[in-house]
Amino acid sequence: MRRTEIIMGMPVTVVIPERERADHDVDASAEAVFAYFRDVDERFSPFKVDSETSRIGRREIPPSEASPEMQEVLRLSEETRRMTNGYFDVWLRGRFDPSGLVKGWAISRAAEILDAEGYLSFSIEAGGDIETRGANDEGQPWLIGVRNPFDPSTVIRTVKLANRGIATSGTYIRGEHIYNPRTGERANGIASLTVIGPNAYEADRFATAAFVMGRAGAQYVAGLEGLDAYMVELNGDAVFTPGFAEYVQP
Amino acid sequence: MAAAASVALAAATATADAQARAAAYNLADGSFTGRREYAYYGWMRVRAIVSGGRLRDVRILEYPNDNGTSRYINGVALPYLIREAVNVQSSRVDLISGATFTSDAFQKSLADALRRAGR
Repeated sequence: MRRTEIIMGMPVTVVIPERERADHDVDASAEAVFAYFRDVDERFSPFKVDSETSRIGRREIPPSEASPEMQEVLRLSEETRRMTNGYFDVWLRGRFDPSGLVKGWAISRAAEILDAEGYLSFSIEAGGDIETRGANDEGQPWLIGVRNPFDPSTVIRTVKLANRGIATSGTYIRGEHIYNPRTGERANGIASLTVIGPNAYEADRFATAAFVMGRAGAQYVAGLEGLDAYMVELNGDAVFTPGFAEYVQP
Repeated sequence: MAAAASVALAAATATADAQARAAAYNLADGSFTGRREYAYYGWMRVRAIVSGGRLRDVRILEYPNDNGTSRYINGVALPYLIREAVNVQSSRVDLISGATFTSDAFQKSLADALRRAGR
């Protein structure tokens, strides 16, 4: 079963192997995942005036009075800011935007919904970040393509993932669109940076931070336990960690 | 074989595809000093210690941030990277990781909002 809906301004896809139908109502479970993403969008979107994110940005709600979910996101954001020496920061020019972490966090939380229902195998993708469980329809590790930043209709590497997350930060087609929170300047130097980690949350937050670091990003990820990177430079070269090569489907 | 190992281990600018890396794992025993390589923010040179045909340790002889002081890092946490030219592949995939057109527009809108907010 494979279903996609546009939520949070991006495609969200749930893939569940057919064999899971024997034990589960897979359509109802996919709907539960989409409902969760719609709820996250209502709470965390920086583009919805009434979202909790917007209200915190306007200082209408002190963090101490935020919802438990928002308090968790604020705590994780602060932890990530410290771990990345400020390269990851949800406060930019006085604006509050936790998007660089919420997407991966929401994918991992959605995966926990299916875990709790007893699923052994599935994949959840939101806006190009993915969490995998178990095996695909063929009983093999999930085959995940790394999108070509110079031609988004093509793939430049395929990795085999089981019980791992993958996230890519990038600049596709034109210009750079991720900002360095240290300077307020647009991040530059590389075309895309893909991170594989234990789940989508870890992959997403470190892909965001490492991308902002530019060409030093892959070296940064190489020093993090359990995380690997594939970085595409603007000249068409890719630089990657030895651990990433272990995932590559030849 | 020693030359292949030396190049593959010689740090950030090592060029290797899967085959070359596989060959590099089949090593002659001994101690091999790699070529001095540029690693973005300085020069790097390492020495590989091989025994029983396996890489056991890597000594960092020169490291971009340490003004020539030698550093020792054991084989588990090699801080080296591999380089390759990007090639389009045609294998079947279940899903694709990457920023999407939709999120590109999403981010451009955000960028515009931030530009407005910043001035």
